[in-house]
Amino acid sequence: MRYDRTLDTRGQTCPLPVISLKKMMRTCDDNIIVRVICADNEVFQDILSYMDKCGLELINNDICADNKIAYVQKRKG
Amino acid sequence: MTITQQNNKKCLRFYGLEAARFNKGGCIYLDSAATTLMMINAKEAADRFLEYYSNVHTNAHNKAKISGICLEWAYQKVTEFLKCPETHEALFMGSGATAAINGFAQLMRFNFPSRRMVVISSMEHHSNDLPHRQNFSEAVFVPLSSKGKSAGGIDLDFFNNILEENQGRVAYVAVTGLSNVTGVRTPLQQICEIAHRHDTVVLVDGAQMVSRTRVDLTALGVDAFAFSGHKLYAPGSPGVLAIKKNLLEQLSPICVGGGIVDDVTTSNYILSSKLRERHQPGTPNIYGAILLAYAMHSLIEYGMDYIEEHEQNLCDYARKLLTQIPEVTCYGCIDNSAGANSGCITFNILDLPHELVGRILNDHYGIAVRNGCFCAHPYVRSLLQEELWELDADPENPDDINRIDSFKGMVRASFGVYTSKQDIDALAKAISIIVQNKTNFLNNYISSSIPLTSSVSEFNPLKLLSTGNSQYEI
Repeated sequence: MRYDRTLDTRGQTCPLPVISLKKMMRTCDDNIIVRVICADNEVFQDILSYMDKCGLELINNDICADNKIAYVQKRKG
Repeated sequence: MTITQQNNKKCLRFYGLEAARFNKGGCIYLDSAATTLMMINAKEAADRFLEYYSNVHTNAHNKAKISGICLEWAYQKVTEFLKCPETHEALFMGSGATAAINGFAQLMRFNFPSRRMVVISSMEHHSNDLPHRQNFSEAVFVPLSSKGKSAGGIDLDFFNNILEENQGRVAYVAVTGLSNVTGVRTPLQQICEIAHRHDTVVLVDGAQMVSRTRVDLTALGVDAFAFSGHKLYAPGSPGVLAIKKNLLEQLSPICVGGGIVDDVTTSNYILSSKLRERHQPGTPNIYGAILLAYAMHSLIEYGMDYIEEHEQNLCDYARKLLTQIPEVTCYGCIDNSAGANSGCITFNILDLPHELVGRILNDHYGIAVRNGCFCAHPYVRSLLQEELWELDADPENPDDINRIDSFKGMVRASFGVYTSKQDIDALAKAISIIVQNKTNFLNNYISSSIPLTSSVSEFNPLKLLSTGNSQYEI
């Protein structure tokens, strides 16, 4: 899966992963894909809830070495 | 302090509610969800029992016989209070609901080893969550029916589906009867019907529910119900597990020792023929059990219908007042759409850390509330989530991280039978003043970690030994 930037939220507790994503997305152009590394499913679900609320799109998701990965992009249109 | 039920003129009296109890102008106790104050009626009766106190498990002498009669009366009083004398047995277990729930989880794991899954609601106190995770390999959490600060009950469609998909694998379902965070009541009858349809039993954490509502376990169909005596105006009394007789019959005990056997040889032992005795080895907390029974008896006489209405009215009144104050956010299903709320209200004041609000209410207004996550981190997290996302912070900056941490919680005002509308008025008035003077309070407390009006740090427990008077001046 192609991606442009990585946000590693491991070691962060709620709500820091979402605040980090929010901060990073502010600086991203529409076509930039961000790979978000989540330590567990709870953080992953938080990221999904935030995306749903804030016009972000889940391009893909993955599991890598017990971490859940979300590939995120600003929703087009 | 004495409170009187206007219809039947029955009186209840409590320790620790006297005005001007503390030097700096009284204490309004709004922390009953954590523990209720001691009922004097029950304490005095239990103290009189001490003249007859002895260990039970023998008829050899009169004190033992009287203690046995009183303890048996206490067991019966519990099932009478819960309206389940024909269907359930009461077991006294440890110091509170936590012990009773841990005991139930261990019993179910030990006796139904093929059922490795538990289904838990997302509104639970850690005491009705962690024991199940520890004892079962699979814990499935039923999500809330909605998201955000107004989230109410659990998603019953999800609940039904998960039980349907896993029929035969689920050991039991664990739900609260009434949330210790928001006061939201769970539709227990509906949950029991769904669970039973899928061959699963239901454990209810009744710690908050038992003092606030009429409980009829037989009518609700609840299989097991745990609660703490200290939340029923009887601190020092045991935890209770009321469990259906036909379920208890299927369970071998997990703890063994004296008092649970009819005969023992070096090669074998025969468990007591009495169902209840099999599960309670050792000397029970006799005094505590009898104290609890006196509290229950007094509450029955006072009228649980009246208490339920009173608690509901207080909750409605508090919500009405607090939701009108600018910059105050109330949590949970504040429009009662998930069912009637009871017992408490949780809130935050914009830009003020919850801990600071709790301290100000105590230091300046003599109002005792609780702040934090109330041992229900997942539920509180769900309610606060969207609010926390809006904080403007740098996740790399330690000061910002500390600031965010200070907003990870709420303030809870919780009620009891002795709480009055005047107490709620005082709370609402104090909160209004705090909101109006937010900057001043914030600056004062940031510049000084010492409470502004009174300090109890010098309290010496030994002084209570010599005063002989509950009116101890701080």
